[in-house]
Amino acid sequence: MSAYQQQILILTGINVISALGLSLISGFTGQLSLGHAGFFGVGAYISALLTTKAQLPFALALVVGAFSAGLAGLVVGFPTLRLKGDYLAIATLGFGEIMRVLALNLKITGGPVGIRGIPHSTWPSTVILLAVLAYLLLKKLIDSHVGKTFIAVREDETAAEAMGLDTARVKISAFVIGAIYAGVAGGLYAHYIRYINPSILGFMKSIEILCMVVLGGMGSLPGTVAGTVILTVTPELLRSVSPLISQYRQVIYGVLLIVLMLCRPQGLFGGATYKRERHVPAWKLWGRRESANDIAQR
Amino acid sequence: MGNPGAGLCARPPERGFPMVFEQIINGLILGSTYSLIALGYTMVYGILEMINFAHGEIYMFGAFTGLWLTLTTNLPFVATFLLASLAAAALGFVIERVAYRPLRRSSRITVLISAIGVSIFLQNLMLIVAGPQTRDFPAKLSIVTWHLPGGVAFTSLQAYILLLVVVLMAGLQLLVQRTKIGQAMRAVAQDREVARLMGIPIDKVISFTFVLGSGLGAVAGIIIGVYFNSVDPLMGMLPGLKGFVAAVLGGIGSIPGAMLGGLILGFAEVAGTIYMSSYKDAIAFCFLVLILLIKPSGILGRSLQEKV
Amino acid sequence: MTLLNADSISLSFGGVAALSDVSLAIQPGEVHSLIGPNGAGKTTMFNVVTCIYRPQCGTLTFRGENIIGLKPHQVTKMGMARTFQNIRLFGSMTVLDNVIVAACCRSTTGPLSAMLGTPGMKREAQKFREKALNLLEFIGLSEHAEDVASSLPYGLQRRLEIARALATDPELILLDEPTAGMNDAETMQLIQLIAEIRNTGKAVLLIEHDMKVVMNVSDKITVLDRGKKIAEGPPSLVAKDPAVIKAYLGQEL
Repeated sequence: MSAYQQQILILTGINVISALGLSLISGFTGQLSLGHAGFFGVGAYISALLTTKAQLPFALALVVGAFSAGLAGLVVGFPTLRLKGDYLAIATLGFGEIMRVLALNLKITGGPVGIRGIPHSTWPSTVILLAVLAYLLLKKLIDSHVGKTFIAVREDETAAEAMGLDTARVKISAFVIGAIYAGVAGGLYAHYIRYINPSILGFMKSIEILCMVVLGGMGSLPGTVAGTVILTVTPELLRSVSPLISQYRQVIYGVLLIVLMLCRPQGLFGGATYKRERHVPAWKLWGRRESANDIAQR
Repeated sequence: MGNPGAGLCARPPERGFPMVFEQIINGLILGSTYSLIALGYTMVYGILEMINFAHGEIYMFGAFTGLWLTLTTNLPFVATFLLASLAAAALGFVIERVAYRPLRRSSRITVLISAIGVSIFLQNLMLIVAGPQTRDFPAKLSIVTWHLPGGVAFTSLQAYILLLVVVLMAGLQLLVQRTKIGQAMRAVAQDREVARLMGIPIDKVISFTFVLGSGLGAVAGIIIGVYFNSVDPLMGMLPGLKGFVAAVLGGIGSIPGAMLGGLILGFAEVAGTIYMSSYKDAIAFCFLVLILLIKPSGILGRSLQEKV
Repeated sequence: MTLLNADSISLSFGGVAALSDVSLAIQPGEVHSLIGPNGAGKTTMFNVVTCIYRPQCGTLTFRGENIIGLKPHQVTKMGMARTFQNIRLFGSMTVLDNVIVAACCRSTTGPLSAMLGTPGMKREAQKFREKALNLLEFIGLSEHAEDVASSLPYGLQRRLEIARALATDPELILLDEPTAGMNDAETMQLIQLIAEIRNTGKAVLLIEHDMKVVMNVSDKITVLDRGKKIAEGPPSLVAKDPAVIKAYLGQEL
């Protein structure tokens, strides 16, 4: 395997782990999070600080980084419990931005320069092993009766609460587990690229991961993996075809999100959509007047 | 990152009353632009219960169109203002038609993701078309500086801006309260189904709301572009989010609330610039979290219990 | 001992009184109907009792304990379950999974044990599955266990809602218009089902428009009109009450 192929493999694996985390939060539990890069960044920064400043072994730093991200997930989870849908999305976005501003201004995180000289400890085998493990654990959770309570919260929170489910706890659990996943991914990333700066906490990074989850299909684990592979590998392949593509990459992300929502909101490998069954592809409704029935269905 | 207020740090802080006065003016101007942006969010939210995530990009588009008209034509500045607002209004109209209207039957999250898509698309398209660099915005205005007693300075630009904002807000209030279309907007916001049965053309009202909100957003974009003399493709992102925070702060769906929320946020940021300038951008989000925890319906909002 | 005791409950939305000074007491094992014209405040009362709404005045106790201020899931854990007027199933899940999720009300397994697949979690999963299958049997939905909930016909969706509520092991089950949209045969089956639920010793609070059902199954009826209680008593008395007849003017009791 060439070094380049190896790089693509590693980045794909890292993205898969992070995207699986977001898949649990947004895809299965239905809590749209726009601050996933914040958790990723916490994992990356904490683990990198531990290996560079405290000379901790990589494995330990990775674990501590992941749990710090999980703690951040808990902190974000609490105030966001009272928020639904759009409000929650904006609040998580705010969390990501606050993290970025912190990383940009704190002394210990190295400000805009970030952290350099992180030891190279992430190898392909580590990433593959952890990605497979992450997938299997999440699958186990989703397939269990406990996992069904997460999906119930997505399907109808009021009904889930009325059925005796502590929906607040379910949502916080989703945020903590999802954040831990992102934290592991962040730690792996820092120890592969060996240099991190506040740009890894940017809003666009959160959107990139969200695109992967949405493309594959909200609420589908194989879909999440497929979406991640497509969106990580394709730009690399296209880059070798034409350098212009990478310039248009984010424009394409934007169009992709719109087209997907219009034509196939359940994603390529369509698991469940967000509520409202009997989905009529939106493009069929173009130019159509809103009927009373539409309103009644809201 | 778009950064209104960056210019604030650049000015050498003067001591005493002149500085306080200048900061109050800065807070007013920053705050009133947030109010203008917040109005776009709040009107759309009031009617469709959706966050028009692309609103910040409409603001950016307005500023760029204004800049482009200033550089390529000899139109008077007022005409530039008007044309740019119209262009942004048209953009808002198109966005609603293409990316939101077909999704009116879908869940809110689907619409929100589509809106995020529009936002990313516009932002990055502008990055390619105009390049990532920050540009100057030379307004074709003769700016006079008045020196008031006590070492206080006040420019005609500041006066124009404040005057414009007051006129726009008063006009909007009149439009919403006194005209037929305003009445229709309020009816649709109250209950879309009933409004439809009363024969109100809902689609037209929604389009009009987008047009109106986008026009106001563009005005805010030009004001910020001219006042801080800087325009860039990413300038819409943070003010867009902050405009949303302002709308939530004042009570989403409430027009006076948006005005109030914008002013509060503007003053808070200016105060923040003085004491901890590097954390300025985090202030809005801390506000957001606080207001949502203490009074999620906002300062002037009605509290609603979910219907079950 | 009174199972549920709501005393002088008042609630208004934006100045409009939805409930004023409504009292309601339910004894263990009884079928109690809540009737009244549209907009009388029946569903609002349900939402107050299940702690989805918080009343502005009044006291509310369940099994002798105050429940005002509790979260809906806590009340459900205490033994009160409900169905919804506008069916609220977990649409994309199977019929069986809908019931299993409700059984999770009594779950002691956390997500971590679920990820690791601990023996305790597996035992619990097995237990809930059997419980859910039994309930589907009881309610007559066994053959649809693996169907997607939203694909069921309307009448069966209503029955599934009841099965789901029963899975939480309630002492009191609140049914919000369970026969809405059902044909005569389905309605008859539902009357039977309510009787069977009652035979298991559970109390039922029923909102219902179909007077045939109400008169058939109720031990006691409370009548609401415009947020106020206008009558209460056994079916035979309530049916003759002049205030009730006036409220229902033009409608046959």
